[in-house]
Amino acid sequence: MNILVIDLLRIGDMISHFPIYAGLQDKYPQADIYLLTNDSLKPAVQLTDSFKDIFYFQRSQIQHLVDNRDEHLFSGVGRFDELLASVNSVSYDLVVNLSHTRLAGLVTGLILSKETIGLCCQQGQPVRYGSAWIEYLNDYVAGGGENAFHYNDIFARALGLPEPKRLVEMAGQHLRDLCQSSQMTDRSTDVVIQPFSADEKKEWSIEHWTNFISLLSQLDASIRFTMLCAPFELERAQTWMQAFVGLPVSLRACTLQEAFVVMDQALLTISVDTSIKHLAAMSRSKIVEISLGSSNYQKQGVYQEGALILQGRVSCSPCGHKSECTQATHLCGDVLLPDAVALAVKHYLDGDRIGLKRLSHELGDEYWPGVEMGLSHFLPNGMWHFEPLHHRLKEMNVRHLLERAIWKNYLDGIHLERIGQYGSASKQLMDALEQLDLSVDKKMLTEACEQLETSFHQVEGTMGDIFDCIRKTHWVEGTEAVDVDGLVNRLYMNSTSWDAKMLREVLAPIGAEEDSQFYRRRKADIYLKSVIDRNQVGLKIVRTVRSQIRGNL
Amino acid sequence: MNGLLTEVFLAMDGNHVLSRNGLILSSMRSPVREAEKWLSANEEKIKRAENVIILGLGCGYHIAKLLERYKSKKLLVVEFDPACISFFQQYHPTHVHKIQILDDWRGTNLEYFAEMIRAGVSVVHHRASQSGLETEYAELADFLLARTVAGLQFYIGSKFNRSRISSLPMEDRRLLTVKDVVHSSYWQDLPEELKAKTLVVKELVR
Repeated sequence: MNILVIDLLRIGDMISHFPIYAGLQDKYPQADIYLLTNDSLKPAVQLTDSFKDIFYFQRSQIQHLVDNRDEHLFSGVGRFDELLASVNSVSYDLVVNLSHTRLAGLVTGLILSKETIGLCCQQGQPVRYGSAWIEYLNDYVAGGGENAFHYNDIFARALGLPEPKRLVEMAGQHLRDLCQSSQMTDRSTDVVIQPFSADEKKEWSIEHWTNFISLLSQLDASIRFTMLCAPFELERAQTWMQAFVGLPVSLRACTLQEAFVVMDQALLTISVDTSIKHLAAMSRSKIVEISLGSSNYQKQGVYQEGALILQGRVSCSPCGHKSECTQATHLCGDVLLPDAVALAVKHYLDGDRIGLKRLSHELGDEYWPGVEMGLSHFLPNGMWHFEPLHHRLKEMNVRHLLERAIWKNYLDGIHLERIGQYGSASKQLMDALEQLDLSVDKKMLTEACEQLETSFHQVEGTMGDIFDCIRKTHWVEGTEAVDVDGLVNRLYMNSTSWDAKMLREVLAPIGAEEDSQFYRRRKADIYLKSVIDRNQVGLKIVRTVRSQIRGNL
Repeated sequence: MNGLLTEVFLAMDGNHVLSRNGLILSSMRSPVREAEKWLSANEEKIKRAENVIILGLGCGYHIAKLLERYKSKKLLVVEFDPACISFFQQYHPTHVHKIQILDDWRGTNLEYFAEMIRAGVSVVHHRASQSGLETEYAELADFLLARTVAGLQFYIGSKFNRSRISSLPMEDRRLLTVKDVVHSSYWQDLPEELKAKTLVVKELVR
């Protein structure tokens, strides 16, 4: 069996996908697994030995050819064609696209395979996903839906890998050997910091870092810091070091492999950068993730148990990956004050969960919603979860867990089974609540269930009307456009919700002058059917949970 | 090309070289070694196709070297200066019959290019030979490399839809991008597979 994995994003994304690669190896032990990736990701590729062969997408070369006036306008196409011929020289049983971008979708559409999982775009064909989970990623997550699953969990479920390994299990033998050979007898580093990111919006200011190091040093004078940077960042790092004069900070310009060794021997890594964050998760170091700018911990948080995540929470965060910061100052970084971070890190290093919670409450009361603080967990169902530490978010946490349990079971197709295992689904949810000490608050849980049940009944009641309305406009020529807003508002009190947004999108062209009326109507039908199915799954899970709560009372 | 003043000199290695309006068209030290360097620098492009269009004949040493190394390549050389063509005939007589030389690229001569494009071609500059005529060669290169509207139309006409070859808008000198191709009326003439690959490249350079 031959499998091709397409991974065309950035170094951090690739490192975070290591558990998916390992999961594929475990699921298909006889398979030869190939990788198609950007040539700029070679440093990350060197950290894994999961692949039989690797095809490199020479993006910068193709870009150069296209931009070079001395080359044919189609020379970039020719170069890509050569790569494609080489990739297609292997006959694949399965192609897995782990990059949910238009580019990766178009590339995937050109690779021959018996089965494809992940975004796949082919000329003149509807987009294919290969799994309900990828469709969810496309329609819900990329469409701005809140409370999304971690990307790794989405891909793992799509590929039928229910319990992907942790990143800490991903360090190959050569990395362990490297650590062994460079074992330091006298520990010279306690805290590793990575202040630089390829995306400036994700960075915390030099003033904040300086104050933070100074404050943490006051709290614990024995801590020594090492600032990591890539060799090409050395000049900038040296400028920063001038600000750290008098503080116990040393500088280390290194490759990814060397960075791993340094982190593996440190107590703690604090990073604003995605690649170092995920690399740290492969090491034995504890991790503090500083999540700023476009960094979205819900989707790409550090894939490790018990990491501390700090986010500067302002109205515009998290912002878009490609958009410039729209604020006069870097607001999300500004609200994350050095004294708060220093205290949080101290409590975290001491394993003082109560101290962390108290600090979170204190900060929340003073600057709400300026600082969001939480811990990463793997739930009993194997999925990653962010546990907010502030008491105001407890209710939201319960609701998130309920909603996600509904999504998970719906996407896994529980409603398609002859006898849906709703009892097991609810038990898993109760276990998760128990793990997070939330099941004890039965009143809050019951209220959340009741609220959801009410909204499900509301959807059920109006869905029939919407179907009716669509069918009527379907066949009567010259009918006026459907009153989309009226319908959506009837269905959703909160018309800014994601479901309302989706409904507007699929219903808008119906009845209006459009070429693709049939396609849009079919899409609307499919979408409405999916809402009904999800509603049914939700109702059954919520009722089972309620009966389990009653049983426990 | 009226008004071009050419002279022949002896280079330090004993080979003859040509100057145009006071600009020497190859190395005065060793035109042969210079030709070898040019060949190495352009090897990848030359290897890529069986047909090669060289923009500039100049003193012709680079053509001689190319023919020595790649005996089966089909070469078409464009040289706007008749003096260079005469020089080549005089100093490289054994190679004259192995190549086709054009001194003008419009009108019926376009058919030679069309034939090569159909079969697959590499276009290679010889900058030293273009001295004093850079604008003319740049215009031809943009055309042959499909960087202008006329060039794109000619490329698509040569490869996929011959009706496109007529009435080329030569006066339009705007440089095109891959995105322009996708949004142009020529898009429909491209085969589906090429369209799909072009969309990938368009997305890449977005």
